[in-house]
Amino acid sequence: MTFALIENGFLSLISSAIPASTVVVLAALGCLVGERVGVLNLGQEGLIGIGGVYAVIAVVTWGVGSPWVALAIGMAAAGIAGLMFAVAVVVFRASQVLVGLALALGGIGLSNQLGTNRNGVQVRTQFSEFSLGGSLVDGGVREALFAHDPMVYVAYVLLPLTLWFILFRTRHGMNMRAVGENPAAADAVGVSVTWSRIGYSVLGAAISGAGGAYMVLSFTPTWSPDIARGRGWVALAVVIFAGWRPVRAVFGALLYGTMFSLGLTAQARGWGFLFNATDLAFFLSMLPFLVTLAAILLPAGAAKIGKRVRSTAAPAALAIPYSREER
Amino acid sequence: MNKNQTGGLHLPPSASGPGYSRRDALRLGAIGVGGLAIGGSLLAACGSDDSSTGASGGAKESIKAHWVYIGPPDDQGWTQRHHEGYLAAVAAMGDKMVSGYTPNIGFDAGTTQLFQQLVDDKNDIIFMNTEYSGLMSEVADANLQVKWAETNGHHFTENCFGYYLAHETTAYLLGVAAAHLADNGRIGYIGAFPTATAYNDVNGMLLGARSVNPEATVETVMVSTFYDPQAAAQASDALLNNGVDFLFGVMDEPTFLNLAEEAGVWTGYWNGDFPEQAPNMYTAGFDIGHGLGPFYTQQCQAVLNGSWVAPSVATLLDTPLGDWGPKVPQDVKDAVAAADAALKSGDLHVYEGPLMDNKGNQVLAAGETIDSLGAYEINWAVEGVSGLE
Repeated sequence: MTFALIENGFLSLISSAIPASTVVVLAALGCLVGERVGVLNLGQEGLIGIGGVYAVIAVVTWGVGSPWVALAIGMAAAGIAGLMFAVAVVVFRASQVLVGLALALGGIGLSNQLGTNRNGVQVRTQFSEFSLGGSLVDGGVREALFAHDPMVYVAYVLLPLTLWFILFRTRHGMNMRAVGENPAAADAVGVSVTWSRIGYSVLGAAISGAGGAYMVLSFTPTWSPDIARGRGWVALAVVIFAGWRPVRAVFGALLYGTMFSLGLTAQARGWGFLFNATDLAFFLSMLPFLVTLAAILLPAGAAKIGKRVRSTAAPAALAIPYSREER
Repeated sequence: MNKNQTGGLHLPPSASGPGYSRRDALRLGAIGVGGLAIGGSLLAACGSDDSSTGASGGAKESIKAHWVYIGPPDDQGWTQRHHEGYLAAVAAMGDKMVSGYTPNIGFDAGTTQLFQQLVDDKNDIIFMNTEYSGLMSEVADANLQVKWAETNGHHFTENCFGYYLAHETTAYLLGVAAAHLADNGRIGYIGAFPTATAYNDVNGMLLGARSVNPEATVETVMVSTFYDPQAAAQASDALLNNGVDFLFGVMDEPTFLNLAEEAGVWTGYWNGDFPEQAPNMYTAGFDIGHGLGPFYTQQCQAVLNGSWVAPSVATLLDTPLGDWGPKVPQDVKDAVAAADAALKSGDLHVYEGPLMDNKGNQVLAAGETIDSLGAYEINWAVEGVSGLE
């Protein structure tokens, strides 16, 4: 995270919200990858913790000097957790909800345990700012939008566009969506439901883990217990809010970060109407979920009164284990 | 505070692990919600029996003491300083004391159950490094045989009292340094809750800074937590983006020091000395651990002797300014030393009228002053502080 004096309060808010939301963006995209092939992973809190703590261990204990290597180690650790989850829910067809909750709670516990004795230790390997835009835009706008570290651009631009392209513009993506919508049909045309689901569960978990690694490699250079602090649950809500579309998920996550930053920026700037925004802290943290509820209820309510609203339905086979024998 | 003390945790055998984990406390307490109420009333009855022997009791062969911490004992901040005090007391008491500690105790009903368990475990004295207030007071009132010492506490009874790290003068001195170092006189403050501690931080800093630069201001962001590096980082971001030239915080972890260093803004810390977290921009910290070891030892010794009596007002512990960071100019150190001498001699007072609060009320008339004990009750911010009313 980097600083510069930003005169404009709104730009200051955006410059603060973008890094704050990055972890939610990554967790939401990771979650979305799995859900598109029909695997609901509620364990986002745990994956963020595992990704974060292994990035810390990589730097502090193993002496890794490259943030990219530390990121890869965090992602690999979360990917292994994702593999265990995938084996349980895809191969053994255990309840995705129960195993996901176990991963969430177990992952928090595991990461806190591994993080003991590393509390507050400075993580000295950090991503450094990668400024885009050069002199094309003026100071405040550049600081707010184009003066972040590379992970931010990956999370906000590269990854969602890549996912969008693969999901909606390639045959492979169509197969992925088919596995999530109607695995029996996908199976019938020769797509391996088992391997798609395992593969994308692991990839999704690794992306979520990258969110945790980002927190310690850029956002705050230190480990602290319960590092996700609800951001994993927010990510799950964001995916629903976004209607399982990657680009919309980015904006949903940014909304969350903006709400979180608003209270602090309003205090620093003395914005009178939000002056006591700390009093609203709990309300603001609830907002993403309220918005999600509204996003789910409004189309349903509109359908009731005869209006058609563009569908934001979940993948039809989400959280349903697939068994070839039962189709 | 020298840094050797912070280098790692050397636990004597009696303190090789927490006496209770929170999970144990919850499991033991999980006999039922109803069980708590029944247990509480039974223990209340027991407590009244024991109280007939007097609150302080006689001299003992050995005592049992327990510390309850808000955070982890290796947080590089608040709880670590208290834990060092604990270790000093453990070393001083030797085999006359059986001791333990429980980290990471927040503010919920499980906390009350923990206190009940500590009573059932026959602890003689219980220390808390934050104000648990109502979560503790009912258990304390029902168990007069146990002594309770609560940081920042306001519950004063025959077996319970509060102690406080008096620091308005320390804040004043850091404010003097900040005004010398901050070109624009704007000081940023990251706080947690609007308590007397926060008011004395911002008031002391502002009044110290104004003694140098009459235009100085303190801009405050309260984050409703002492331990959330992400929230602290965002608060730092909001303040630094807004242009503050000095950043101070009362967080239990040093993240904002790293960020101030990165931004090239002078910074200072509440919880002891951490120049390595901001090698170029560190000024000084509050040496909050200064009096804790002797205080804990003295309390435990008094329980052992049977001479323990609950003070009726807050016990104030001296909290001097810590060592200077390596890059602080000598003239700043000299200016602070001069202010320190004036405060110590009584020629200078942190709170001296006429003084206005930041809502436009006069809080002190000309010539009036407030001492440290009075400062412990302060709930207003002086004119020039924003973000905290």
